Amino acid sequence: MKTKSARTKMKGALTVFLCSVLVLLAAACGNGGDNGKASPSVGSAAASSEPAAESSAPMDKEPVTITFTTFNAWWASGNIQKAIELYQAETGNKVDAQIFPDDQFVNIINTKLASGDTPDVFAIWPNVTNFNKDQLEPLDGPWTEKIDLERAKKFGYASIEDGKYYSAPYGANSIQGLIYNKDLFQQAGISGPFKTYQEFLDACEALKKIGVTPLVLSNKEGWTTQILFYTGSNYLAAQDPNLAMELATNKAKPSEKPALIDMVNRVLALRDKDYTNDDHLSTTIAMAEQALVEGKTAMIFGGDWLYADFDKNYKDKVDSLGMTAVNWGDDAADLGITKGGSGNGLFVPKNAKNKETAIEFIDYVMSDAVMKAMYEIVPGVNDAGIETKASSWDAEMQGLIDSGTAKATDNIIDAIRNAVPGSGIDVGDFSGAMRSLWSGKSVDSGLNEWYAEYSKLSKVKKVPGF
Amino acid sequence: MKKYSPSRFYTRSFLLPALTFYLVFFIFPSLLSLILGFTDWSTYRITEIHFNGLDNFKMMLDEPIFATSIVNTFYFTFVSVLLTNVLGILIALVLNMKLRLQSLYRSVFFIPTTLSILVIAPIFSALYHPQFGPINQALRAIGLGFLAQEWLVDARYAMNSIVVMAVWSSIGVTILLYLAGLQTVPKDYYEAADIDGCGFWQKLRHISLPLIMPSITVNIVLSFVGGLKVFGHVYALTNGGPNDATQVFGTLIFKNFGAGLLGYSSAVGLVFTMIVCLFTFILIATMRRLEIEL
Repeated sequence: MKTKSARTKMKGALTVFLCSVLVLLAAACGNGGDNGKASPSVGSAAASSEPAAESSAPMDKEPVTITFTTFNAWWASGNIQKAIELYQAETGNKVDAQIFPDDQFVNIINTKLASGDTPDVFAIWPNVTNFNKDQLEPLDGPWTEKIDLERAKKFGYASIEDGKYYSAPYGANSIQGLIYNKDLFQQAGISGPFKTYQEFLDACEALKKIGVTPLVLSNKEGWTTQILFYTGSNYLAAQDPNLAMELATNKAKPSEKPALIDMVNRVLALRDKDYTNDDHLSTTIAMAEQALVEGKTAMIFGGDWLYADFDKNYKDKVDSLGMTAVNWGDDAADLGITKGGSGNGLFVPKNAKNKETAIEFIDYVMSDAVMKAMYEIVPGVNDAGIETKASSWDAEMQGLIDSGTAKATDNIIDAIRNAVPGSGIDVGDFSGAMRSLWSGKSVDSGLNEWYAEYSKLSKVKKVPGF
Repeated sequence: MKKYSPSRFYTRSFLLPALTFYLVFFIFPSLLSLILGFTDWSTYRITEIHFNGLDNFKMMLDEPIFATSIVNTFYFTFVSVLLTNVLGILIALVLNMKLRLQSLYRSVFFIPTTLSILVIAPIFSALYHPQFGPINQALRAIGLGFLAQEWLVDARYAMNSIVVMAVWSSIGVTILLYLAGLQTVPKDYYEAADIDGCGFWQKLRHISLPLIMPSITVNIVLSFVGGLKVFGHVYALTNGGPNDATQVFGTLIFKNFGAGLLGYSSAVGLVFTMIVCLFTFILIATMRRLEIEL
């Protein structure tokens, strides 16, 4: 039988042992890297197989770690990862990538900018009017000379107020339309483009007859619903040429515009006629892409940037997909194709800890060699004045524009933003508002909620008229 | 002349750092937030702060989501308080009995409380998946496929799905407090009740519940305040969706703060604080009257 002192000694020894284990565990989990940064950089172990661009960093410079942040979906597309991989191999600097869920990133980056706890570089939609430009560092790398300044001001890469660039538009210009399964179209005996609304409805009916869901919506994502409405922008502009200006200057509310209500009702009719999936709120874009490729659906609305997803995940089937245009109106002359500016831009916050290195990183990304390498992964047409690989979808849609079948047009949201240059109007969460309509909210209340949101934001930003 | 008191000196000296910390990081920001609620401060004009009177509060009342967030917050609070406390008492009563592996059962119920909501939310998100989630798959496997729902994307079920997760994650503390309360009840009362021929429910109603009233007060107040302050559960699972069906006060404030509306979100926070304080005081006053002193 153990004495009291032996038991006490054993307890003491056990306590010391457990404390030592805890200390060792804490040390093992602690940071040990340079600059206190333990986050693994992207692609740091992989040697680049691309011919390296001319080295820009002197060999005796201390390696710097810059923080980069963006949406999860943008990261997953791979093009910016490629640029980072090349940059790290070239300069020896490290990029600490902090990726956030798509539906949270906008809130997170706005919070970081407001609190001053900013990354060195972040990638988001390139329009500077989404931010307070006093929180951003102006950019003046050699790439700015290749971009048309008026176009840059129109799409917000440069500020209308001071003409300075605040974002580097590395992403492809976005073309929105209908991505379709060629085999199913052939089976149903239909072909695009759908020059009138009735043609599109007839096509949906034909697809339904062959036993597939004509159209799949991926409304679990924050951005997809708005694409349907974007594709009707030319029809809207034809019906009500003053629509964008009146909404931009608060001379009318969306629920007071018959043309907008009419277009919304035409879009919602697809749901009412059972041409779409019931589980739209739980369907992600990845699920929609899979359904399209597997022939469970014939169409999804999207943009040319999705070509990269299909090329990456379904390389052997990407040629069985095409892109075409839809007219929501009754006059074939109203068929339009929405062509926006760059979908992706790089910004440097004014509070960035490694500002100089961040700007060097952006200049590197926007160089010819790196842009070409990025566009091998996500093909498209860019605004940076560099000839890059474009997809067959870009060719298909551009062909419709060049032949005069469809008109190139701004989407409704860009039209509202650009109606009064420099106004800084914030259109709020248009996609969220449209998603709520798809989920059953009345057109009136859905449009009024959208108005309440964007008028509140515009009032705070002191947009004239609000 | 005041007599020098070493004990008073040391008390004040040792309190000073903590008090300073509390003033600088809690009191001052709270007062500042109060004032900012009456300004138009935003990230779009970060260096310009102007008083705008009651404009923020008028905007708040005009915002359709504001009413929805109030209703959702109170719904979440009442349902989670009810479920947590009723289930908590029942489980505590069972755990208070002499059971084999009693310590293990107590640990199992307490473990969820130690997990971060960011760990729990993905687990429940996976459980609730409409196609691959174990809940729906199990229902289909036993022929109850008609009960399988889109738990997080159907507006009818989304809030209740969040409540279930909230109850699961917080019931451990509730059980702990009820167990502590039950163990302070003198055994003599139960023995006397046994002699008088009382059954389980009579003992519960006339002995256990009245004498654990302080524990009930503490649990209800804590879970009520916690319910009103809900944010992480909603943000992690649905982020206020689908279509604002689960939008609560906390997510509304965060959404507006994230949109750069600093003054406006402070105003919403101010209203929220006043509502929480008002209901908490009413609740405490009501519960105190029901307590019995031993």
